[in-house]
Amino acid sequence: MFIKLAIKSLLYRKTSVLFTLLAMSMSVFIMVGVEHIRLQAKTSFTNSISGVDLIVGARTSNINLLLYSVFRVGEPTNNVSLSSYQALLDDTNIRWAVPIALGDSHKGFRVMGTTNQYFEYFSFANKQYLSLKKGTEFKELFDVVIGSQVANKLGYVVGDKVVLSHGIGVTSFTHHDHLPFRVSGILSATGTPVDQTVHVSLQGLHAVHLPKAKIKSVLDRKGSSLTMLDDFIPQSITSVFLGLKSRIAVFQIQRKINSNPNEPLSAILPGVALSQLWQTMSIFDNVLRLISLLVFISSLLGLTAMLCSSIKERSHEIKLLRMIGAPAGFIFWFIELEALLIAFLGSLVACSALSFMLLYGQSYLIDHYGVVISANILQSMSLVVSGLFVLLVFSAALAPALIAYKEAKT
Amino acid sequence: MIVNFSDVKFSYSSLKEKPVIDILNWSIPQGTKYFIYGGSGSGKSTLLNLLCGLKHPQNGSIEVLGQKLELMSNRQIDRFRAKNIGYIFQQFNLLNYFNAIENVQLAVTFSTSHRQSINASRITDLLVELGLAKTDIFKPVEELSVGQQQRVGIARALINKPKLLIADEPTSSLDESMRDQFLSTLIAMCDENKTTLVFVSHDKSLKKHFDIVKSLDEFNKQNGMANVY
Repeated sequence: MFIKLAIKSLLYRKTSVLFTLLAMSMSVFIMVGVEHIRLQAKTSFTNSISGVDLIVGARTSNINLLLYSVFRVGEPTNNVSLSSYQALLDDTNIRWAVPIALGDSHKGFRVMGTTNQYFEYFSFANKQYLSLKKGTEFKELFDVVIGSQVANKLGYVVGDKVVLSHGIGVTSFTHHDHLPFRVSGILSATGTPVDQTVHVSLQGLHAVHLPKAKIKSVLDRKGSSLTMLDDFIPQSITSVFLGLKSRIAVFQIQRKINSNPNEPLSAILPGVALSQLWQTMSIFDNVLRLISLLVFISSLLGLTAMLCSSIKERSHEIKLLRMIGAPAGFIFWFIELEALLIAFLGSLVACSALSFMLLYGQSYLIDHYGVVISANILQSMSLVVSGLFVLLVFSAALAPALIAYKEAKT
Repeated sequence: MIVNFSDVKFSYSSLKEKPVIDILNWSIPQGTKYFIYGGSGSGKSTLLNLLCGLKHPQNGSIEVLGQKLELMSNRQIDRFRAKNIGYIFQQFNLLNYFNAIENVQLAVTFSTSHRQSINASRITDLLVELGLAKTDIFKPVEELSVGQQQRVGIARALINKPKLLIADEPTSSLDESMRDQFLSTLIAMCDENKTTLVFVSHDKSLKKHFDIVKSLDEFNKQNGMANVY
């Protein structure tokens, strides 16, 4: 009866209740949306690399090395010499070392030179390894393996010809069009920067930068099979991903690399660098949360105002309820229940709308921003947040409920 | 005696010299139909609020059905009122967003002792007995005429079979023919349930329907009139 009373009384004043409900839905939509996307972005971000124990590059800061080697953002300050790379390979503590070379691009997507070992060892998220959706790894000198987003956006299929451009702009004036590459494989989507990367063999990447005549003479002599082409191994690379035999040795190896007497190098732990990078973004993060909280509070104040103004016109109702035996406390909880009902209904509308939008916006987000956002928003809402929500709504209705209580008492 | 006031003083501000209600001794015999006449501002509403336990006097004792109200907690008074006192207002007797049957049900909800024994069919019967068409029972009360609304008000006030029914100017919103019909229905219902009726009005022409007729000034000293008893 109590709930029925509150529902019917809200329905009776449906116009003002409807607008309050809309304001409430909007604010909850913004609040939950911001929180969900924030958490998902963070997961997506920290998922971009795993299983790599150390990243080695020229002497630079943690974040810079992480940015260019994993996110392909910005420029490497310097290169790592081939001899240092070979020294790493010889280290008994190191299980594998995958070289990467950056610098070229293809229609706005970064080109990364590496070896077939990259596909074997690089993992992301929860130790998920890369897998080919179509085609094969590098077999020939000019084979490329493209990320899923590159394939989607440019509409490439296995066998298509690809021309790399020198430099990293979308519009480059130097195209390596004398040596077109061929798409040999397309990777499955990962939700990481891998999706936006064009992978070529180290030798292939080096070869396009050499004079045409030299390439031709080598190819004529040895054929184009990748395994035979030691001539095209570059003298330097951008950075190296390392996997250790035992993770316990990680700090020891890091120290050894950082104090390498032959070349100034930096070795970073990807996990540490990722959290450092995320922390630099936390101000932006907190501002977003603050704004969504303020929007929510303003909608709560709207609720308070609506309820307060309703009390005046309901003094007869209160008197009637009192006369038929309703305790004054009942009147208090009646108003509180109305507020909680509006808030609950508003949240329900907001969450359904958000889930619906995410469900249909997911593919757009992956295609355009490479962010994987799950439509399951419930996991972003903790019990604490829900409790806080109820508490805030309760406090917002406190003033009108007390006014009604006072009215009931006199 | 169903109601007994002794040395009751009430004023809205305790500093005020002259209380609104100052009754030395006043009582209502059980089973009577008691008419209280009073002009506006004579303290009628205040008297009724005291009688229902919604307001508490600064001094004196009010006994209703043999129970001293000042000895009960607020919660006890609320339950006591739900169970034993029916009330009909001048207007706004009903919640607009409930239909007739729900309005009557609401009164049942607050009376714990009657919650089990009264079901929807009993309420329907009562409403039909009071002259409401079955089709009107489920209509929003706003769509009913004023006369019909007042009859739903009677049903709401009588559903818990209260010992005491208080009517505060219930006829002032009705025209003459409806007024007589309303009064005879009300009195018949009270007779049927052996309910004591306290009827307050400024309209002296109604007094022929009642056993005892008193002007509020006769027993309330507030207006300077001498105490009768």
